[in-house]
Amino acid sequence: MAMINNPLDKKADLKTIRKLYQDGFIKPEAFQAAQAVLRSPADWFIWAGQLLLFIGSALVLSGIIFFFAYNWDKMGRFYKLGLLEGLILACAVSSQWLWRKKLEAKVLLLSAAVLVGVLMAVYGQIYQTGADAYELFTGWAALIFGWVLVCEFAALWFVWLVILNTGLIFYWVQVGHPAHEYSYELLWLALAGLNGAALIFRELGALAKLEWLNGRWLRIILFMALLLALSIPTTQLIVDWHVTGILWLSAGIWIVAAGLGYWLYRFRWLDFLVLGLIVMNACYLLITLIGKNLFDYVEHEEAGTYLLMAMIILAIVSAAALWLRLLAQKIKKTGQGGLQ
Amino acid sequence: MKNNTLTLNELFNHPDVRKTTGPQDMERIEAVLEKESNAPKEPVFIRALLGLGAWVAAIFLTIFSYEMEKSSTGAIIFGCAFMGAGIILSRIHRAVFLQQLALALAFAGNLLILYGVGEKCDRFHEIVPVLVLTHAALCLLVYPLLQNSIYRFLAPIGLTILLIVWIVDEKAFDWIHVLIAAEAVLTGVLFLKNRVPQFFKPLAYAAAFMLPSTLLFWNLYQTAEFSDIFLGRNHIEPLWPATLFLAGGLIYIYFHLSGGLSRIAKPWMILALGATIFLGIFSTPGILVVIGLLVLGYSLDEWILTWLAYVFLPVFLIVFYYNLQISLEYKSYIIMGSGLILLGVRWIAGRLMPKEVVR
Repeated sequence: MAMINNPLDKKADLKTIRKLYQDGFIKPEAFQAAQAVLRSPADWFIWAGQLLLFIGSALVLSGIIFFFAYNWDKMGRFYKLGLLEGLILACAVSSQWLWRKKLEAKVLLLSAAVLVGVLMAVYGQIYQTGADAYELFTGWAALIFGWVLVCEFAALWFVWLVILNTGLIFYWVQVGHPAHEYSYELLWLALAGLNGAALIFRELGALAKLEWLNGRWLRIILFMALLLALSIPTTQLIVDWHVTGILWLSAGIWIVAAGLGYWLYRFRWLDFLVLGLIVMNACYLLITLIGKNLFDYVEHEEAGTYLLMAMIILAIVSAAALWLRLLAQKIKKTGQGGLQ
Repeated sequence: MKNNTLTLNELFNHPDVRKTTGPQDMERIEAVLEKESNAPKEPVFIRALLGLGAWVAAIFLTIFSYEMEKSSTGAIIFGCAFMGAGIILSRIHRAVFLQQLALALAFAGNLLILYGVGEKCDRFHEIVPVLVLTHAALCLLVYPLLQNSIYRFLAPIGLTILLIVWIVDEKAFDWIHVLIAAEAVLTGVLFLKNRVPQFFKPLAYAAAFMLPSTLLFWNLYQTAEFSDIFLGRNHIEPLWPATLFLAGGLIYIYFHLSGGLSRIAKPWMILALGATIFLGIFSTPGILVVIGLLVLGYSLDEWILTWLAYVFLPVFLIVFYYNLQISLEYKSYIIMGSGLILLGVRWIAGRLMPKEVVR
């Protein structure tokens, strides 16, 4: 692996420049000149344009959602549905028309996808279909799936995953638990499966050089969702200790996910933040396990038990932090990157 | 050439920068960067892990001392002892475990002193102001002495929370605007001033975190459900003083970053000012704070501020929707209108772009 010998070969950022100025290593004029180079008027225009597009579109979409949530009596059902369908069509067609302006086209398609959900909600409101919320969300996810595939936009893909996760949770609340008595551990396993599959897809996409799937934020959020979904039943296993197959399965999958995640993000695609998440999660489970056993075996909770528990927590967290620090230094020396 | 891919070497060799730095400067810069790159650097999440661990350990330490001596005087004595031990430990060795222990002792000491002092109050309504004063005094004393950025970040947050509790408890609602203004000034000064010592960095992040949090609390507090629980009636306090101050603050940031008042006649500045005034009138002050954090985050390369803004943006939009005291129909018009105006501003800004951007 290539070593970074010269510190000046590092990517220039304003934080470093500011620190150099604050510590008196560069003059005010040099600081201002560097600032102007790193944040030129061109950069500001591009940044502000993206920000205005993002906030402006979010506000317009929110306004449309609130407008239809009002359930306006003065508007006939055809008018309501027609207006929404017209908006969806307008967004989709303009997206096609603006395909050269990539970001605008993608935001328009994202808007169309959100409006499909509004259309379904308004449809259910007008005709009182009696459909459960999970049907709305899963139906919505199914209807926009095509756009998700062709749009090549991580934000749309993320919105689609949120819709699917919500649909799954509603399915368990409205059908899975009341009608089939599915345990809540099964819900967490299903959520882990969904987000785990999405994470695998993201990594495969990145391997296949799909630039739109390359965003690190997507990896972090999906990995967090996966660990969270697996940690809840694992905590249940530690705290309640009522042995059910599904709890053991969850704990087993947690071990596999954490182990595999460690190997992949340490040796294949170095990502220090993911490693940190795994370590933090493992610390939490280990502390829960030790705490549960400690307080179970001590008959009268004496002051010393609390002191001991405090020291155990400090020891575990310190060991984890020390290990992460050493790892960070090691990675830095080999110049692998991924240290953010 | 895209600027965001420049290396430090390329930056210092850029014609505009090179003419301001001599060969001797470059040698010093290289030496200090070399030293910096060898120094251990701690990612934010490791600090979060350490802070969380120390906080949980502090709860157990607090229970331990309470089990040992169940009196208010005992709590104050234990608190002072813990605090002192924490300060000494933080200064004698940089080993991770000792630093963690120092932090946990400081947290536990702080909690115990507050508990002991609170218990000593005879009258119920005295408790909150006494706690505010005690914690403020502790912050002033411990902030410089305890060499720990996590305590320096969390202690001012604790003080702000206590101040909010005091404002609500006393029903002195005008003071919430003063608190918001103070947080905004602190954030602006600590981030925009170029020669602020590193020592104040945690305070800067605490102020930036508490500014949207206080506004969010204030927005939520005024919702019927929340207000009924605490006041037994729906309390509506005007938001305009905070809005006015925040809009002014945002405009100040524009001028500060763009090079001063001389830019006032620039078309893009007029556009930015117009959009800010419009948002101030029709939107929630939270949106102004979000934009301020985004601008600061981008101009200073502070990703924490950027993420803070992205987290609070949807929250403020939802709260704004619930809080507007108008019909749903008008709410939707206002929100849609605000969005369309921002998109319009973007369109106009596109026409004002410098030639290099268009190219």
